[in-house]
Amino acid sequence: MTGEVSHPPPAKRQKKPSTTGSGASSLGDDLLHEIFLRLPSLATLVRAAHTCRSWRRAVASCRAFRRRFRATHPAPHLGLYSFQASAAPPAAFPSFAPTRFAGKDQAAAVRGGDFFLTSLEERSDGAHGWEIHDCHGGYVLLCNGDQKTMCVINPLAPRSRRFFQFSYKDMIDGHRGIPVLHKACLLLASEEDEDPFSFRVVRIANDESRLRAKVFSSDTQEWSLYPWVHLREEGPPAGSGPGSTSWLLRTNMQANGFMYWIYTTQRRMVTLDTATMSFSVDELPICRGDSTFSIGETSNGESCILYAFNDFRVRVLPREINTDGVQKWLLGKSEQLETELHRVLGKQAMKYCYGLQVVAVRDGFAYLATLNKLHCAGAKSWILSLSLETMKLQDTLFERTSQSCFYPYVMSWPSTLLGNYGFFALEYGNT
Amino acid sequence: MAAPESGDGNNGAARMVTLISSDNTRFEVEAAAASLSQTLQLTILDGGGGGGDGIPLPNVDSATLSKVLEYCIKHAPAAANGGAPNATAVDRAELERFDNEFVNIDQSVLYSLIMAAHNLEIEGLQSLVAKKVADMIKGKSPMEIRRTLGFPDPTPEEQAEMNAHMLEYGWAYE
Repeated sequence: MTGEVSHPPPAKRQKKPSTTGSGASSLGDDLLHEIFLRLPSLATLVRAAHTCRSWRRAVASCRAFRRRFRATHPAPHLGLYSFQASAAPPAAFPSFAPTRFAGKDQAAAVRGGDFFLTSLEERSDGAHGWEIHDCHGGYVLLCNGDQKTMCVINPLAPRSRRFFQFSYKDMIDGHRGIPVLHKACLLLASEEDEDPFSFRVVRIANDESRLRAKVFSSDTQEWSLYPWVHLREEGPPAGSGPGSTSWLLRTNMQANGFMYWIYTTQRRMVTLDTATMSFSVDELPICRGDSTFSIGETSNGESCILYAFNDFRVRVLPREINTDGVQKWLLGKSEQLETELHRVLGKQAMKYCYGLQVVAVRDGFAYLATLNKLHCAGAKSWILSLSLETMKLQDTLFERTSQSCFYPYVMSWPSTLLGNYGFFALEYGNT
Repeated sequence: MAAPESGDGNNGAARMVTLISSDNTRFEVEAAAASLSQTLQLTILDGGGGGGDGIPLPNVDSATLSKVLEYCIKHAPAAANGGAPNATAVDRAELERFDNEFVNIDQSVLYSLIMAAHNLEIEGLQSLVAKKVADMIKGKSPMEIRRTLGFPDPTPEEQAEMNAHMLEYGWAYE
């Protein structure tokens, strides 16, 4: 029999009380983190963290918590921007369609943000609208129709938008044949860097055989112009004469600091490594007339190409970079989506639908448009999102109104919760 | 109050341990239930808590401790089965029903519970209460959360900070 000691030993490893006092406002950071990790989405966390000072600090002061939250909560998709480039007269602003059934907090974000971008009205001259060029990490990149002013804006924090000037004249200097100016791309600091105010804008132009880039940096507030690079190696596409400049499609795609443009022949693509600003040309892993594709990131942040075929099949091709730094696209999983489409669209809509087209890939989701049989006038076309993790279609539908460009909007972390940036930096050190 | 420990090992009746709350109330409980606490488990493995002495818990008052032990006693059999892979659906449904009822309590008790669960390292209980509080928070604006959780009114400095945030992230406050 043991236990003859007069003073009972206190429990070993017993932690210090996490806080003193009572009530929710006095919970310690560890416990707040445990509670916050169980919130359904980033939109909920943002509202909760703004409840009081100590709650905001609990998030802003702890990068490890933010990493855990990101790992368990996919960035909320708030909606889809679209823009019809050929419309005349041009639209004043891009259109926005919110995601359906997204929960109260995401709905509050859409309701309270400036997703119609009307706060840009004061900078519009009336004659030109704002054309959307890109949308990434919660920011929208727009160019005024006069092609002189560009803007980066977060609709959820519209007051901290940035305007900067753009001129294409030096870009097309020394061109051969007819020059073509492509849409600008927005490159943000990586998620891990968490700097919400640092970005680059990359714009390329091509002539009959060459390509060049111009890059704006938010740090220097200046554009840098890069020299022409000869890239065209394929013969011109059928039907185009010498001097044709239509060898590169106008769509731009990006993933993990690499940007991609596709040849009109759809056999090759140009890759720009934005770390080194060097171009290269790669064969596309699949080139079939009945397929469409887009490049983006899977849910764990890897680059991938998603192909959609006319028989409702899709295939993911994750990227692998070998030791020489050469990228290669692997044949990843494939999925037949016909049953899933039936479930989401219903029998009636499926009657008109003969295939799927990829319109965008972003943060683990692919956006697919349904293609209708030509003779079915009046049949609606839909845009659906597909989780690349589960390969299930989400129940969120957008009606496709025209042959537009589509830009999914994904919410980002507000600067108030990121610790050490600008106006909202924590006033005193480590808490 | 404390049951005498069976002299040679734990073969007989279930081994009991005594826990002493901050207000000096003694609780006698099966070692298996108390061992849901990672903190207590080590002490108990070392042979502590039996016999006439008890394990003092200076951070947990008797009201909270009795609630914590209610949870531990209910969950001990399933935990003993190693996460209960062979538990029947009925057992699991019963535990779920118990959990839902269990956190349907006054807020002040919830906060004491989560702090106790944290201090005693009872993962399941901490997770259960954290989920309950998260459910109380979601779908609400900061002011609604303040009201729901009974926060005191913001201090002038806090209000000034909130006003600055509101200018930038107005949507979060609506």
